[in-house]
Amino acid sequence: MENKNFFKDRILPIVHKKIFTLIVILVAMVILFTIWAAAVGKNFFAPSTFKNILQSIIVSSFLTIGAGCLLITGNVDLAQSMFGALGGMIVAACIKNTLPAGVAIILALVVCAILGAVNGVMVAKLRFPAFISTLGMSYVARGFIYISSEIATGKAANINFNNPVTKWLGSGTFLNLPVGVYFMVVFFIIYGILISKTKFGKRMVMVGGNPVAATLAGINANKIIILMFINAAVLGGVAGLFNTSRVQQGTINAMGTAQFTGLTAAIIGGISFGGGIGGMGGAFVGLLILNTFQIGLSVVGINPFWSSVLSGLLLLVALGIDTFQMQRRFKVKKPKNDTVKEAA
Amino acid sequence: MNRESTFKRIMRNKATPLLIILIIMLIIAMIMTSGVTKGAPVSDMFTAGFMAKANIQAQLYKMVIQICMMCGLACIMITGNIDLSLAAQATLGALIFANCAKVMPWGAAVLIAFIAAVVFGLINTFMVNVLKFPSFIATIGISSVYGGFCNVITGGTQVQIAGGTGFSAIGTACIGPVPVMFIFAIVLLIIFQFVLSKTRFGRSMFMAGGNPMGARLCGLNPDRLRMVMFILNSVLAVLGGLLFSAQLSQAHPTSIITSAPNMTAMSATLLGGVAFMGGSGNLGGPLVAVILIDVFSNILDLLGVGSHWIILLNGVLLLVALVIDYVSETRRARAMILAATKD
Repeated sequence: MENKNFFKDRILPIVHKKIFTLIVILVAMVILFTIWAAAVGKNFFAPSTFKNILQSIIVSSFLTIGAGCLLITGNVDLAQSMFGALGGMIVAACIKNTLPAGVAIILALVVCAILGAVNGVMVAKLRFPAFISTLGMSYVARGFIYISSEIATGKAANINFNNPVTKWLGSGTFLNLPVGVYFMVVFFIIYGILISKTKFGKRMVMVGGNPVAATLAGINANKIIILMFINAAVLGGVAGLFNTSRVQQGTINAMGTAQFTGLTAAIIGGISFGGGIGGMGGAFVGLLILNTFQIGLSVVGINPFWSSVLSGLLLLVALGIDTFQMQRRFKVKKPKNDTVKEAA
Repeated sequence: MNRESTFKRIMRNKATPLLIILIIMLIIAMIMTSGVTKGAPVSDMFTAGFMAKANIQAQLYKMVIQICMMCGLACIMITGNIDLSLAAQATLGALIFANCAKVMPWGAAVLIAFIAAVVFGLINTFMVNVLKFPSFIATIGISSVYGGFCNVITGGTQVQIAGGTGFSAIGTACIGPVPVMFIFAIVLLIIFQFVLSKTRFGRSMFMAGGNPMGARLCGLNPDRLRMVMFILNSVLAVLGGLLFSAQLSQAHPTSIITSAPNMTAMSATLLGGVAFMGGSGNLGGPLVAVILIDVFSNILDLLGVGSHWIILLNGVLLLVALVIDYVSETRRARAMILAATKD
């Protein structure tokens, strides 16, 4: 009897948490790929693979944090990755014109923040649909990438540069792990605490869950949404900074495929598409799942073209799980037959 | 009195300012790109630069796929949904056609491509109706899947359309200077406009978009309507893709996706006065808008402005379209409040 209670009180709540499911999926995926790789004569379960996975999630982790926070307030920013590419290009252009790296980075992040604020004002104040206005902004940002490169060097092309600070950010290591990994973990912890432990985080969740009720409760929903758009854009800029630093090049087509990476990882990680549900822990595991999946596929030797197909399917599956859980949450529970009899 | 109200009605139409802008832009284009400013004879205005036959034809060819997609997009936006997988569907449809045309007459291959289109539409319908996904994100996900398939089945290279002499003839046939394809697209547009404004089905689309709850209470079946819309969209997208590949006599796994005719179509639809949330709009405005966008980017191209400015301006145009939509929505809401308080 006592055992059963212990099971009910202690174990079941953990099992029912979304993050538990996610970790199970992650572990299952690692086991699957290990077996699959062994079957085709490759090695998946090796330190180098996990290092690869960590290295590959650095850039997308910042996108995920930004997109996740925004998604919690019920909005989407499709321009985020382009802001990142723009930020990277601005860093490259500034360093090329002999500005110190610190100034270049601050300038890039400020430009990203301004563009993010434009996004936020359009969505919160003017009530534009977030999808479509940020899609427009992504074109604007892409145009700015070309233009900033043209201003810096006279023609729209990739800019190579060499700078010790960015080199350290991009390819420096500390305790045998890339420096970016530490930044990523710190960011995840800070944002995780912000969302789940602070008043501001509670307000964010409330704005996402029910904007009207939040406004009636005296929360300035517009301010929070605009702040989150700025936050997403700046984090996009940070992602772009790490991306640029790694290759020591401001690339024109940078992050072209990352448009939905942050969004996908956040949705896989249990941040509900309608807003108001989710946290950073889930988003982190979601990101790990996404990248383990992709790196696993490449280790096993699947044609890289398939990975686009499978990533799309993964997004749809995550959406399906999200929708299914929402439906179950809002379904009215029918009383069981025997309880009805007892009542009668 | 009567004349004034007609004038007012014309001015209130969303297409009118666009048309005025278009005419001004055409005049500027004719002057700026023909070299008249540099001392060429005035008659060059109608034969050189923008008005040169090859340039005009190239623009008309470019518009064909955009107009095809626009018809579908306008309809689906009027009913309050969106489909962002059009470019990927068009590409995959064209590739299916090109691969089938290798082993069978091209008529049969076209039929198979359209069957595939219906399947695409049904997949979208399934996601939105049964699984209750938001149409925006679901179609983005599926578009990534289709885009991947396009590369998988071709290995990333284009497929020549073999033995399709009749098919390629469609691609290059012209009546006078106007490509047959373009006339075909315009006819399609007129048919859709007729259905939208004159038939019961068209009315029900407006109703479902403007007031979904009311539409259901009136006995419309929104799920079935959505299914028809998604299938229609997919068929039109694949049609656009086929016409696009007929121009080049080849199907390419990425060229439609990178030239993004669906994005142009969407900007044009919004710019032309179809409300993003559904319930209002027609096809005349979007047609003017699509011509406007193409002429605009063509002028920039002819004047030697870099292609990156064109990308930037495409984004700005989309945002401008949203601002116009916003202004007209608030004005309409204010007018409705005024009308309500008058009584």
